[in-house]
Amino acid sequence: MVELTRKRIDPAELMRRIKTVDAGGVAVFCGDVRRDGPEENPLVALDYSAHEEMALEQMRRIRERAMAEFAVCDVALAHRLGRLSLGETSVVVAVAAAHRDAAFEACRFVIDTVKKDVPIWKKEIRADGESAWVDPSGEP
Amino acid sequence: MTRVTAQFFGPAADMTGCVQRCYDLGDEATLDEMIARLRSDYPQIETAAKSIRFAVNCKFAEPATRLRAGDEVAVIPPVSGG
Repeated sequence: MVELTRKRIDPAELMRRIKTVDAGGVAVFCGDVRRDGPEENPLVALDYSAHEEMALEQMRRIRERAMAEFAVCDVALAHRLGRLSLGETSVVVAVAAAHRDAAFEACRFVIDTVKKDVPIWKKEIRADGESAWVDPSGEP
Repeated sequence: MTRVTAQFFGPAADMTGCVQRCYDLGDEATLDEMIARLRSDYPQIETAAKSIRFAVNCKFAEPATRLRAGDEVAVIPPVSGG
């Protein structure tokens, strides 16, 4: 399953949806809004927006690729849009597989490809109210 | 004549002050020509040219892609999801 939502994402719910008795494990990645300086004007929120129709299509394609290229049972991918505060979860990837190697590798593949190819953008909102688009070239 | 819609997202919408507009291109129009028109209308896109990608009808597309009437061309600046 893939989902774009403006509501809180529940990682446990995604895990429940993809768990089967054929899967020996589920690898989950949660991307959260983390604290960022400087101290005198810290980050207070991230605001996510998207080319929604294309983002969903790209997310579906990424899921299909993960299912085809890794020995996994199922993949769930959810991304949240709108304004998120520190600690809130923006993206969850969950992968169920018979064996953990494939689960971890597919999970990594999905989040890396989401960050490269899904048309979603985030704006940093600082304590002083100013906002600026994130430049992804600075991110690991 | 080929009428297509240009859509601007994220930083591109802010940069250009535009979210959507129509373009009338020639009969055998390609994405290349559309990009040239966009760069000419929006110098900010010219400046950011190397890092901007384009999508036609929700799929990333190569410059040689033929455009058809009703196509939607999205200007996709570097993404920052996740």
